[in-house]
Amino acid sequence: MADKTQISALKERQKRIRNFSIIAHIDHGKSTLADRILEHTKSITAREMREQLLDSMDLERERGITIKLNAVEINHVHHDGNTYVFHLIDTPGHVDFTYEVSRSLAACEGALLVVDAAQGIEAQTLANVYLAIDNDLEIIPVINKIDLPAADVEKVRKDIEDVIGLDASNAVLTSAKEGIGIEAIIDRLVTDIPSPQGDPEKPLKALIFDSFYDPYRGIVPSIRIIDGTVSKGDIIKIMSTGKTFEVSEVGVTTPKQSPRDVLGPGDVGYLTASIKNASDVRVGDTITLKKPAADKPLPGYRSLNPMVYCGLFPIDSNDYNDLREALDRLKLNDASLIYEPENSQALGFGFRSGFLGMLHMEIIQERIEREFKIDLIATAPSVVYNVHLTDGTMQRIDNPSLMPETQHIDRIEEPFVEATLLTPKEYVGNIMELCQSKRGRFQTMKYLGDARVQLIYHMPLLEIVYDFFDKLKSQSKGYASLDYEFHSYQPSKLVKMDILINGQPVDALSMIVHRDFAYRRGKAITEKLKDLIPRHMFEVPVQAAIQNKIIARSTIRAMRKNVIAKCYGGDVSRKKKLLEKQKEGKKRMKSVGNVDVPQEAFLTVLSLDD
Amino acid sequence: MKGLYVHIPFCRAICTYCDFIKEVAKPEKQTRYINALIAEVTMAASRLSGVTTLYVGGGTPSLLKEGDLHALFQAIYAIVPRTQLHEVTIEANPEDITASKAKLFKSLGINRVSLGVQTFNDALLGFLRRTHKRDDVKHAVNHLKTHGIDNLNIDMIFAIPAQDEAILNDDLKTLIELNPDHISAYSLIVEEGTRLKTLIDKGEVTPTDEDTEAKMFETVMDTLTNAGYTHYEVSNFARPNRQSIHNRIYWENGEYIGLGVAAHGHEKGRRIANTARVKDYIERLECGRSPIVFDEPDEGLKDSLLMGLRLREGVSLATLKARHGTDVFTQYPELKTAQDNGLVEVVEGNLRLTRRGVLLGNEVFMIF
Repeated sequence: MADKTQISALKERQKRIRNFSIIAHIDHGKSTLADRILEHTKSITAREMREQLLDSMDLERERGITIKLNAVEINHVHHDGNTYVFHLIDTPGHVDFTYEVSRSLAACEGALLVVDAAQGIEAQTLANVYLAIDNDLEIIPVINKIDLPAADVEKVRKDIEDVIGLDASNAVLTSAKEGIGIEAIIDRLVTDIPSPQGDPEKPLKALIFDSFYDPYRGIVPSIRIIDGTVSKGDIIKIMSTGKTFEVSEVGVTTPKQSPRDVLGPGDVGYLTASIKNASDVRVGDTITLKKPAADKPLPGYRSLNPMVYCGLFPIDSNDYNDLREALDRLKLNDASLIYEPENSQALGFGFRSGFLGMLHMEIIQERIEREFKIDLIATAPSVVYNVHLTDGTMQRIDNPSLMPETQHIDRIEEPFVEATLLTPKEYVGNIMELCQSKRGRFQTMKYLGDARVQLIYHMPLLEIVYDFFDKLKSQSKGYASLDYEFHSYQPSKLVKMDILINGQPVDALSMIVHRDFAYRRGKAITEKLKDLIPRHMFEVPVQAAIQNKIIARSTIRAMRKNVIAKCYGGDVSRKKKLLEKQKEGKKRMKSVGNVDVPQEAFLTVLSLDD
Repeated sequence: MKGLYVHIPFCRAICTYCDFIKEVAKPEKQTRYINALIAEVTMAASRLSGVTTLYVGGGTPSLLKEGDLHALFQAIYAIVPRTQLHEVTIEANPEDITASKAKLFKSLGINRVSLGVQTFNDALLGFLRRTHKRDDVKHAVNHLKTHGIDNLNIDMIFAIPAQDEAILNDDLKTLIELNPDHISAYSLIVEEGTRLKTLIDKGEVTPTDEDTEAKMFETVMDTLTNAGYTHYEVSNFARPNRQSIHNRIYWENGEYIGLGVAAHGHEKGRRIANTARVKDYIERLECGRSPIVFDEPDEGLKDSLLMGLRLREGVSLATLKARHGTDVFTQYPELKTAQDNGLVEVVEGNLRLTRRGVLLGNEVFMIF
């Protein structure tokens, strides 16, 4: 507990705290802007300054996006003579992580809305601005990249006013890349963003908006103190679970971890308390003290359910235990990742894994392959179906191969999302056609200014999981953008389609399809598999079946010729190298019965041009 | 039998499909290379005892100047007596074979010439960037026969992009009319780093599909066999008693010395290879250093099988057991599956590829 002197110091400090996030679309310059603010306030030395510092994971750097949240404390000596404490809380910029974004925004009093002067507002930005408005944040519009030849400041200003309804007359004009307008932003942070409310003498209420894994200190939650104080030695309580931990350190990120004696209202920092499991400190939960405890938690906490599932299998079955370890390690830092053992006839032992969305899934797969060096086969993603059985019970099915027999099924419901699409008006026709073909149900269409249109559709998540995003981009020359959130479960005419290779059903290739699309998809997938599976010594039929009835078939003809033609003047090594290469290729495939199936085959359903 | 292979890495032009060690070089560089080669012959004198066949390959050995050829052969004969050699082969491009070249070959003791013909279709020859025309072949054969060299091989390539069944049949008809004693017929392989690969990657050329290639291979086998040739190795056909003695050494996993840039040898149970860079090769020999960059034990039974199964007669299981001390089917149980799939068969104690297996040899070789 903090003493009297500490309390009054905290109250003094609280007046000069400014907590803010940066809201921007991918590529609109968020990370560069954050770097410039850090530079300008001399928060980090040149040595610490790596390009786009806040994005610390390699993968994030490569993809140029933020996956995990980071917060940094900046002490800024302002020209009014006061020293201000800025907390810049970074947010992920992807639809999979909307909930995390909303929680990190809840840790702020203000936000910089960064819009690319040449691109205008995108759907993702719009969604996040609405989240900020929901959280009562003071929003400062920033028009970035004004140095670009294609920049059109007035158009973007109008865009912000028309689309979001924010006054953009006083928008800050910047070029983060060129370092223009950074000082103006800092002035506005000081003048526009309110200092945090909150009472240091009330019981502790701290919002968990992120957590990370430290191999020596366990799970370290990132927190924003709303009320009360927290210090080393305090016994804290996680409000949703009642679990208690003893605090071993509190501190702030500058961006390295710097211990402090006490954190009070408005502070953004971390605490360590030998927390072993990421699921103990879920994002959105409230930390209080064991005594005195807050009477109720902060609003807005919900535990996240995975939206998308897939099977992850090691190519080399000896890697099974390593894969388990890799998932365990990733889970430490990612409470939203879930998995359980799965046994596939075709692929052997692996894990059925659940993710918040497609990007989340791709990132986990990539991290396993890259950081843990395990070659993976991932099956095509599936959504979670509510399967109502004739006996009145309901099963949740996330694995098509586990779908009950048709005669036991009364009806199947699938998750629908509300999809918001923003597009230049010339592509509206294309996009509406695309949405129709993906079983979308039109809701509304609205002009945003003269040139852009907002479309809202209710769409099966399944269709979005497939290739919707790629198709959307290609139908709009890359201009349309998409945001979506879960809407509801809706009954659909769904059937399970099995794929048979050489007469054997391959469980890992089973999929759920809409009855009306089954023939087309069955034909497309059998044709695609014919091209992907190499020829064998015998003819291999590839069939698609619904309830044992074959609806499509293709045939991989038997291999006719595979022999080294030439004798290279006695060079045996060359011949051997070639044979080794062929052997290696075979090894990277999975044997299904007596057929070697390459990894890509298990993802074919994702890239069907049907 | 013990072989000597000598590599001449020079060509007049680079063929579309070729990824051998070769270059287009000025005569001065060629002479410098020949001098280095002669130095290696001298250096290798002790290894050359007992050699019974000589094969000068390339590249294009026939483009060498008379003086260079003469000096090379004299240097070899100074160590390996001419009378000891059963077979002396040189590879030649048809356009190089003038009456005087044929006469020179004869005088050098060459008794077998391998002509790089590939196809008789002038358009395809142009595509392959060969430097001869259809009619050059007939003249070359005549010159060689006139000068008493009648043991001739003709190298052919099939499954060339745009080569249809009609062109192939015409190639085979023309070939049989020329009546060489030996024919090598290879299907075109698209190798990395060749112009052919680039053209295919760019979509300018469509490679022959596997079914057509297989069908063409069968046409080649049937037509040549019907014309009285024995199909004795995957890609080789011969009149009676005209099989290549030198090449059989490779297939029987026997001993051979390789001299020249990028040459490979098999000596006393070891695989040996020279540097693959011409400049490096010359520089090493000019300062008296060995050009050998690779010298490792061979792989015994595996090598015997990889090479021996290319022969249509196959390998004698008893001989292999005696030579390597292991039973083939015990060592490689998967051979049984290959046998069940009709790729290999055991006939009179010999393990060999079936006719189907000839086209699918790699599926068998991968077992080892």
